Amino acid sequence: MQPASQRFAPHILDAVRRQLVELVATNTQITLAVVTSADGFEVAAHPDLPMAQRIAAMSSSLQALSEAMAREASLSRSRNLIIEADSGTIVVLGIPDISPRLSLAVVASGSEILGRLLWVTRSCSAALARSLRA
Amino acid sequence: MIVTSDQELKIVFAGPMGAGKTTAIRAISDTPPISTEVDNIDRALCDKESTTVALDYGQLLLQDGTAVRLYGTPGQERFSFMWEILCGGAMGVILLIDGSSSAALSDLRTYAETFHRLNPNQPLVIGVGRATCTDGRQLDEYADAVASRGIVAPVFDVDVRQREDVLLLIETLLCILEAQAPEADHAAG
Amino acid sequence: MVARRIALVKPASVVEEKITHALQLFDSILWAFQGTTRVTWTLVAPEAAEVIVVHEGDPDQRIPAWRAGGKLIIEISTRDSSTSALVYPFKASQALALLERLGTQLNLRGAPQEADRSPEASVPRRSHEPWSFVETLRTIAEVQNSEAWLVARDDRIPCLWLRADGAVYAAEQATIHAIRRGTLNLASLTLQKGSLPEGGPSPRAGVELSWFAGYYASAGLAPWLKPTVRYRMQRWPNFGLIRPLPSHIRVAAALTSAPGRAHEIAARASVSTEEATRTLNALAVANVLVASGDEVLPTKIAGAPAAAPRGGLAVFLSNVRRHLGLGV
Repeated sequence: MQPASQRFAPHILDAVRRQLVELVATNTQITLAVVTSADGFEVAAHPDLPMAQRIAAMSSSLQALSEAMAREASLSRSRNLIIEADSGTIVVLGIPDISPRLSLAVVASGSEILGRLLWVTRSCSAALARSLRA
Repeated sequence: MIVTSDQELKIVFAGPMGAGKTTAIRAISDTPPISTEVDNIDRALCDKESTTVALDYGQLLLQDGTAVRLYGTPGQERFSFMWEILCGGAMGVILLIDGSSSAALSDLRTYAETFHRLNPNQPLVIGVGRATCTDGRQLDEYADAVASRGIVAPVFDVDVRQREDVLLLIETLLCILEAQAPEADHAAG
Repeated sequence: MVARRIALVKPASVVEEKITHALQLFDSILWAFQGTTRVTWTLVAPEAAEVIVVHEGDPDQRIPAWRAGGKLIIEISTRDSSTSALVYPFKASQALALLERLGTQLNLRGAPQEADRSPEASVPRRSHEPWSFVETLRTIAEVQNSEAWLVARDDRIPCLWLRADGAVYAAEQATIHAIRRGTLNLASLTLQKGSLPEGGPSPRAGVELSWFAGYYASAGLAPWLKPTVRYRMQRWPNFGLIRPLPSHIRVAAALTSAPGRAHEIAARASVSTEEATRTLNALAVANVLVASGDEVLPTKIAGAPAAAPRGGLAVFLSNVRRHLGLGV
């Protein structure tokens, strides 16, 4: 099985990892950031936790379900998926204009404000898009 | 906590990628099935254009308003967390295997053991598609493999593109449910 | 190859149907193994035979005379406790081993005689015993010869072709329908070596033929099954190839919950006792039925659905079946 990360040139993957590292470093409440392929493989993650692979698979499932739900409700394309738990928040965003499709899943602990989390995640997603198109 | 309404009745179609779960649901669902298929990038693992990453969903809408939900699990093992979620509270599991795959027998063992372990009391019916022998010998081996693991499950040659074959699997599941129910629940006719 | 002559003698008054079946089984084995053993056994009238097969305890006055005249008398028993050479139901291998010994014994006596080819000396090959065709299928399954084909004729017209291991058969659609409806009297067919015609009907799974042959053979229990024994299924038959009637599935499902006798299974499956009996016969022919011992049976698996359907399970199942167009 070819790891999803091997679908990209090494220098592109390096750029992706640097952006994830920066995201986590500049936002202390973020505990994990994972770039995922649409078919559920981890492309890159920081930190490199064992649960990153499962988070990758789950985020692709959730993304697909949320898109199916949006279609069913005759809404246009699903943008964000937000899971608010008692002790934290997970945001899953599609990385824009990238083919094949990728998404960014960010896990943050409880004290992070949702609005700010969405803003930093979107910024990172846009930066990732630029790196991946390079 | 999962809240289950008294009308939460479901049948799960499980099995490896490419075994025909989506096709089987489509053959009997009263509503166009909802699918969560995405492009399958890893063609080396399975040469299919798309793969289910969350679930397939269809339903049977009975005359009295009861909805029987039909769920198809994703086939690939990295989505195995969905198997337990979907199988929880299901009436039974229909396991589909691609008989033409070189991994058919090992897939059968793995999936049958996995789903049996998730809920040993849950009825399991196994359908093998694209079997390579017309005389049924291949399935004798599969039936033995399942029985040798202490799993009591029918193993049938089927073509899930044919509605009647999917109905055979469903009817068998219903008969097993009926046979396992307490005497007072048995149908009068 | 040495030729020997053998006769099968049915008792004048048959008290037990099993006796007829036992002799029929022997007949089927003789026929099925023709050409595969060192000795060729030809069925003839008793007066011309070197070996005569009778039922143990048959009071036929001719038996002592045959014995005294040097004919070898073989007794087939239908009593479990018998010490006879063959006790019904016996395996083909046991019968073949016996025939081998008889052949050797006769060879030691001297050269075999030419078989009497007069019509009076031969006996009709086929009987119309209801289980004859099924017994033949069971015997063929033991032979496991996948190279040869057999052709079954209905009044000399070929109507079905059977591979000699029983795993595959072929027939025109009308014949298949008749087999599945039970309107073709399989017991009246004559089977001979033959070949599948070029461009003929496509082969189908032999288990379908043997299933319906067993199902329609008789309303009573198959001769090798006992009414006092509780049976269980070792595994499910391959219903994907058999395409069973709905009641067959119900009976099979009833057997998975606990072993039973025909009337017990009938009650559990909500079918008639005849239906349960016929299905037990079919399951036995499919080789998936075994006698259950006196072991303590596991209690029913608590497999009721996690949620209680509106109106109860019975109503729900009825509604689903009606909705999907499934039979009862």
